[in-house]
Amino acid sequence: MGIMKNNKLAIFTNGLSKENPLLVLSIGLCSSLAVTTSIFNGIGMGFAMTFVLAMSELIISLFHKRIPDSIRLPIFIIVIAAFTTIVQLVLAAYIPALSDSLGVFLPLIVVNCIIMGRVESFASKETPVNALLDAFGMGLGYTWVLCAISLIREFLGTGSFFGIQVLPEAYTIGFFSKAPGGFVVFGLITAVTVAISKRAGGDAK
Amino acid sequence: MKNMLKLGLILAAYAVTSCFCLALVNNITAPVIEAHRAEQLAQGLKIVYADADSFEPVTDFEKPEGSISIDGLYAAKKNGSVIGAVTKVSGPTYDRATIIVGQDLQGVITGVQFLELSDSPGFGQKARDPSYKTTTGVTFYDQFIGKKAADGFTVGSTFEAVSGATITSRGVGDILTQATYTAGQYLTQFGGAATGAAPVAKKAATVFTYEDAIADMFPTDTYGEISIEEVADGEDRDVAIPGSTDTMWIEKQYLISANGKVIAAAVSASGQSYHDAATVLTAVDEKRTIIGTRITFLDDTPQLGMRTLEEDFYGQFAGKSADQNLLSGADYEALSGASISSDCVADVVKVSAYEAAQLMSKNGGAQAPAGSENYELNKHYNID
Repeated sequence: MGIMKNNKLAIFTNGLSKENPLLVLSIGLCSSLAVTTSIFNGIGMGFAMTFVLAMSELIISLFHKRIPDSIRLPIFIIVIAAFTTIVQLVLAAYIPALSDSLGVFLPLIVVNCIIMGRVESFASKETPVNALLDAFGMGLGYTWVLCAISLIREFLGTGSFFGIQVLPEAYTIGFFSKAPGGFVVFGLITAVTVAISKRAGGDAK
Repeated sequence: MKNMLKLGLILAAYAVTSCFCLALVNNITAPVIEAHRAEQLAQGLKIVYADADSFEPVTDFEKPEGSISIDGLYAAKKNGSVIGAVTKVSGPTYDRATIIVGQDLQGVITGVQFLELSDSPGFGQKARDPSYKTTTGVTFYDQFIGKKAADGFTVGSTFEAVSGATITSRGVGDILTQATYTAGQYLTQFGGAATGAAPVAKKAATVFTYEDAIADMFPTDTYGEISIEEVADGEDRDVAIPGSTDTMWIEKQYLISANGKVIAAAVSASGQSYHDAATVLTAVDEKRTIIGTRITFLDDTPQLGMRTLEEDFYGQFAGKSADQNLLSGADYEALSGASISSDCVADVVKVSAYEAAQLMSKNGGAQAPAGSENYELNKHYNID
């Protein structure tokens, strides 16, 4: 039983750090660099993505025996697209500000490689519980990295923290709110992660 | 075959189920989204026309043809009489925008608000961002307040573009032009001032044939019936570029006459563009002044160098002397993001204009001023 539990925990934490979709697998980068200009966007995008990922993984793992191998990709896309549209409609109805600021990147969740990747490599082979754990792990892994990037970019780029101005405008560096700034911040966070995981790996040896 | 049918049915089953779920969600969210939109519009109307106390939807207005659509027109009333109008208009920007704009009877803008804008976050989205300020310290959309619709909405001259989002800004300018025109037409029945000329559909940015180029530069309204005579002697020759071993190619030469008198010469020259080659036909009058120039061949980068095909670009050479240099910055304005392409086209324009002026001088036109044969080019033509 203990081993079982550890196994479940490992599936969940896998996405948070060891196989973090952004920092380690380096997939789904385009939207993550584009929307991370403010924390509000980062959190919103993270949760929208997590929802689509969790629901898609759940449905696919529930039905994976009923999905013929030869047409699995179109079916995955139908399922993912349906949930993406649901997220779009719900956000437009209940959080219009978020739906406005995420703009075109919301519908683009459909083609986010993280979802397709996890559905194909994990959910289609595992139990629903494991699939959900994986989805939440990956989703939160995506979300925390988005938050970290947007925290830094929002602070340096616009001098605010959760939308509250903390740094006078004169001290902000506009570069960080542009796409190249996103790359730099992302690169630095990746480097730090690699350094930490190498050190941890070295200790284990 | 049987298997294919089975797979198709399975796929269909998934699709139908998804559609059913979506329809369900849409049923719940659609009224909420609709209510949001209505509320947004009501708030927007008050912002763009604070002076009015009520708004009445109008239906009897002329709907424009083309890519910009008027989604709604509202008469702005105060104490029961019409004092202006608010237009809800949508059209292409980088992606699309829906804007409401208010104007009074004199055609002065009372406010502009974005209802929807689906351009890129961090760039085009700045157009609706309340924290983004233009150099005059107001938001992009507030800079229109107080401007007269009759003056037009031109990026750089009548309003300031969002930095890094020129296409979005231009789109907004075109949308406002259409909106204020439609609303202005409607307001004339209440004693409103005319709001300037109808928006002209932009000429498609394509290359011209020689025939079309001449017809476009010599409209019948201005020049009357013209006759065109090709001057074969001197066509298909290399022309040396002063102070360089490079050459350009002279392809076609024409003399344009009206009422039996030669009024202009047009010569096409071909030279290096950013990618491959650019050919332009430039027409010059008897005073060696450029009447116009049209691009007849161009191979360049889409969205960047190819934008030299837009009238905004090639139109700037008309009225300049064939004997002056066309150097970037000093004599003409290069397209941002495509300065080499711009320079290449400008150089070909310069050579074709000079050659056209020389052809004109042999047919009754003014002689070249001393030293004008040693002109200077931007000199990007020899890049490889």
